[in-house]
Amino acid sequence: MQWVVMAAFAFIPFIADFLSAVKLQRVLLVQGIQVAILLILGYLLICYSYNPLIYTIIDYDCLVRNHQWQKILDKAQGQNANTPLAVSCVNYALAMTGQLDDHLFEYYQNGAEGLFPSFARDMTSPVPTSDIFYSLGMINDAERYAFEAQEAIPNYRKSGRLMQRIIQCEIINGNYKVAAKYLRMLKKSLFYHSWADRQMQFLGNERAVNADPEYGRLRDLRIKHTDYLFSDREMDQMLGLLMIDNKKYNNKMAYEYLIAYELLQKDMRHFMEYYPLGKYFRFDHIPYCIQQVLIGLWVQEHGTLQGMPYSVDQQNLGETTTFMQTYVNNPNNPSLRQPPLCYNAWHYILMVGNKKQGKQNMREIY
Amino acid sequence: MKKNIILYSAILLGLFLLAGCADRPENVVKVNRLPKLFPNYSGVTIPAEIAPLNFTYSGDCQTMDVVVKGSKGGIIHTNGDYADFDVDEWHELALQNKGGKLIFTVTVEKDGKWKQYKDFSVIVSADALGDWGLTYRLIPPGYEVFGKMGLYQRDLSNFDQTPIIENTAAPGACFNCHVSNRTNPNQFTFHIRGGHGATLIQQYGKFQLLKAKNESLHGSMVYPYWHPNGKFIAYSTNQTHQSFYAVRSRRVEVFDQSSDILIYQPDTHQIILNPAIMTKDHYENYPVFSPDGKTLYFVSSQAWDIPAHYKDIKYNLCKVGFNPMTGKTIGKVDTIFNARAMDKSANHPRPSYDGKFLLFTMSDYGCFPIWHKEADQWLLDLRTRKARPLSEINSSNSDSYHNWSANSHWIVFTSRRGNGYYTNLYLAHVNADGTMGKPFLLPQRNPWKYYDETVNSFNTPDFTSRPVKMNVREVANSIISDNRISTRIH
Repeated sequence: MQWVVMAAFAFIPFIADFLSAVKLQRVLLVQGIQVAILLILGYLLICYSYNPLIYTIIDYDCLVRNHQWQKILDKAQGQNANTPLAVSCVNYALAMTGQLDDHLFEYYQNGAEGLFPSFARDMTSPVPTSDIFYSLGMINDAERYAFEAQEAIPNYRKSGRLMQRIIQCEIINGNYKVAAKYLRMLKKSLFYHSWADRQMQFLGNERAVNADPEYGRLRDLRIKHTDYLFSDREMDQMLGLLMIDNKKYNNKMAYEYLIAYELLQKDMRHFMEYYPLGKYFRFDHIPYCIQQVLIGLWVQEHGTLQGMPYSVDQQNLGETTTFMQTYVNNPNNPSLRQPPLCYNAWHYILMVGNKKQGKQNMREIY
Repeated sequence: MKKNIILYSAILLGLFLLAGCADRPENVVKVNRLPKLFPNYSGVTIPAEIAPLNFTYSGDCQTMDVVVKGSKGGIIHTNGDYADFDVDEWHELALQNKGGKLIFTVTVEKDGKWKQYKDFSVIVSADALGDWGLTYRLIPPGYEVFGKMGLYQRDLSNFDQTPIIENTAAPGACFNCHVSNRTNPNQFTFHIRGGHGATLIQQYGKFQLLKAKNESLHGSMVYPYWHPNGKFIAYSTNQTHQSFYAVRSRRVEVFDQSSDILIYQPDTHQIILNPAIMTKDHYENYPVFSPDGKTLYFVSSQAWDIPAHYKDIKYNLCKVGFNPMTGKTIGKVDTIFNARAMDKSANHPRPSYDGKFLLFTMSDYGCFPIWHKEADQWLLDLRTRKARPLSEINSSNSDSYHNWSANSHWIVFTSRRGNGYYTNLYLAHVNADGTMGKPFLLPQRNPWKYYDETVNSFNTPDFTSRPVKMNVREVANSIISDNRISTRIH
C-alpha cells in the first residue's frame, strides 16, 4: 500500500500540470477519466484492505454481544464457521438456544477448542469466551478474560464494553467498592453513562442484586462452596464442579457444555460417567447427540437393538444404525461425508481427526 | 488602543480576583463529630518532610474550609472544593511543629449553610524521613496480560512522580522486583520479564543486562537484595506460576514449583552457589542480608507437589551465616520464626537497617501474600526473637509488601484496604520499641480524584535516598536488542 501512496505523491503533480494545460473542451472527458480512475483505485483499495477473516470475527462478536443467536446459526449454515472463535460462537449460540447437545455435530467442530478457545493475548478473542464463562456462571473467569482483553488493547485505553462486563462480575461477586470505582468512570462516557447510572442501584444492595433476573441467576449458578484453582485444560472437571456446587442442580447449560466437551474430546468413559446427570435438568427428550452415542455404543456391545433401555426417537435410531452399518461395510463410503450421516455424532467420533487436548502446562511467570 | 489595553487588563484582573474568591464560613453550626474525609488522616503520624496531607470531604458539599494550627505555633488555611494546601506553607508549618501536632478544623458549606466538625489532629514525628522519596511499580491489577506499566519514583516532599522506566520504551517488557542498596540508587537492580527477559544491574551510572536464565539454574534471577558492601546481590531463582480461583472471594494464586537462592557477584558475573540455600526438598525464597552483612535471612518451605498441595506450602523465617568476603554461607540454616507451627506462612522478610527488627508478611499459605486477603504485617524483634502482628497498622484486607527507610524510623507497605482490589501505599512511623503509629495513605494533590481514577496498583515500594537516574533510551534499546551478559557458575 505504501508504494501506491508514494506513487500517487510522485504522479499527482504531473497529472495536475497536464490537466492545467488541457483545452476546455476536453475538460469533461478528462474529468470523466479522473472519476473512473478514482472509482477503480477505490475499489482496488477496498479489496486490498478488506480482510474477510477479521470481518467474520467482528461479525460473530457483534452477534454474540447482541444475543442474536439465530442469526449466528444462520450465518454458520450459510458460511462454514471454522475459525476457533467462530466455532465457539456457534456452539455458544446453540447452548443459548438449548440445542447444543441436539445439533452439535451439524456444525463444523474443532475439538474442545470450539467450546472454550485457548486464551490468546489479544483484545478480541477473549471477549466471546468471557461471555461464555459469564453465561455458564463462571464469573471469575468471565471477569479475568474481560480484564485480559482490556489490558491487551494496544493503545492502553479502556473499553466501555469490557468495563461493563467487569462491573457486572464485580456486582455479582459483591465487590461493590471496585464496581463503584468503575461505574464512576463509565458515568463519564458518552455511550455507557445511562447504563452506569442504572447499575448504581445495585451497589451494596444485596436484595436488589439477588432480585435482578440476570445477576440473581448468575449468583445462583456461580461457585460458592468449592474452593479450587481453574484449569482451562480440564474443563470437564471445571464444569462438573460448577454443576454440583449449585445445590439446585439447575445449570442446564453447564451440563450441555460438559457433555459436548466429552464428545468433542471423544472421551467415552467420562461421557458414560456424566451423561446420566442429565436427569436432574428436566430435558423433554434425551439430547440427540447423546441418543446417537448411546445407540452406537449399545449396538457395538450387543450387536442388536433389542433390549436397548434408552428412550430414543426413530430418526436418530435409523440414522445411527445406518451410519454404523455403512461405516462397518466401507469407512470410505462417500455417503458418510454427506448429510444426514455426517451430522451424526459417530461421524465426528470415528472420522474427524481432532487431537485430544492434554493437560496444559502452567504458564511460567518468571 | 492604550485605553483598550487598560480596560482588558482591568477586566482580566477583576476575573482573576473573583476566581480567587471562595465562600468563607459564616453563621457556622458546630457538629460534635469528626468529618468524613478521604483520606482519613485523623491520628496518623507523619514525617515533617512529607507532602501536604490534602483531602476531600466524602459527603455532599459546595465548599470546604480548612484551618490547620500547629501545637507549637503556626497556622495555614485553605478553602475550595477540597483541602489543597500550599506546599511551602505546609512544610513551614510541619517543620515548626516537629515533635508536636497539627490540629485540623474542617468547615463545609452545603446549600449556603456552614457546618464545622470536630477538630482532628495529626502527629508530626520528631524523626526525620531520612529519604528523598519512594520507588514503586505501577501496574493494572490484572492476571497475565499487562498494558502500560513501569517503575516510577515519587518525591515525598511534594506530589511529583516521574517514571524511572516504562514499558512504552521497551514494548512487551514487564519490569518488577526492583531494589536499591539500602535506599541508595547508585546500586539498583530489577528484573525484566516477557519476550526480552533479563536482569538489569545498574551501578554508579553503568548498567549490565544479564541473561534472564542461567541454563544450570531452575529459573530466572527474581527477588533481589543487595549486600551492604555492594559486592554481592542475593537473588532467588524461581519457577513461578499462577492459577486462578473459582470462588468469589479469591482471584489469583501465585506459587513456585521450585525456588533456590543464589549469590551473584556483579563485578565478575559469577554466580556463587551454596548448598545450604539450594536444597531439593525445600523452597528457599526472598533472600535479604542483615545490615552488618554477616547474616542472610530468607524464607523456606518444605517442597510439596504443586499445584495439588498449594495450600500446604508454608514458609518459615530462616537465617544462615554469610561471609562478605567470599559470598559463601557459613554453618547450618537456623529457623528464627516457625510460621508453619502456627499453620501460617511467613514471607517478604525485611530487616530494619538498624538491625533491631525484621518486618515480614504473614498469610495462611504460599509465597505471594499480595493476593491473600488475610495477609498481615508482622514484626520480629531480632533481639528477643519474639514476633507479633502489627495490629496497629493492619487492616481486614491484604497488607503485604514493605520496606524500611534508611534511618529505620519509617516503613512503606502495600495494602488493598481501600477497595479490596487496588493496592495503595501506606507509610507508618516506627517507634523505638517497635510499635508503630497510625499509617497514612501516600498523599496526592487531589487524592480522591487520583485514587478514584487510577487504574493502577502500587507494587514493591521502596524508599530512595535520591532520584534514580537511568538513561532510559539506552536501557530500552539494550533490552530490545537482547544482548545479554551470560552469568557463570562459580
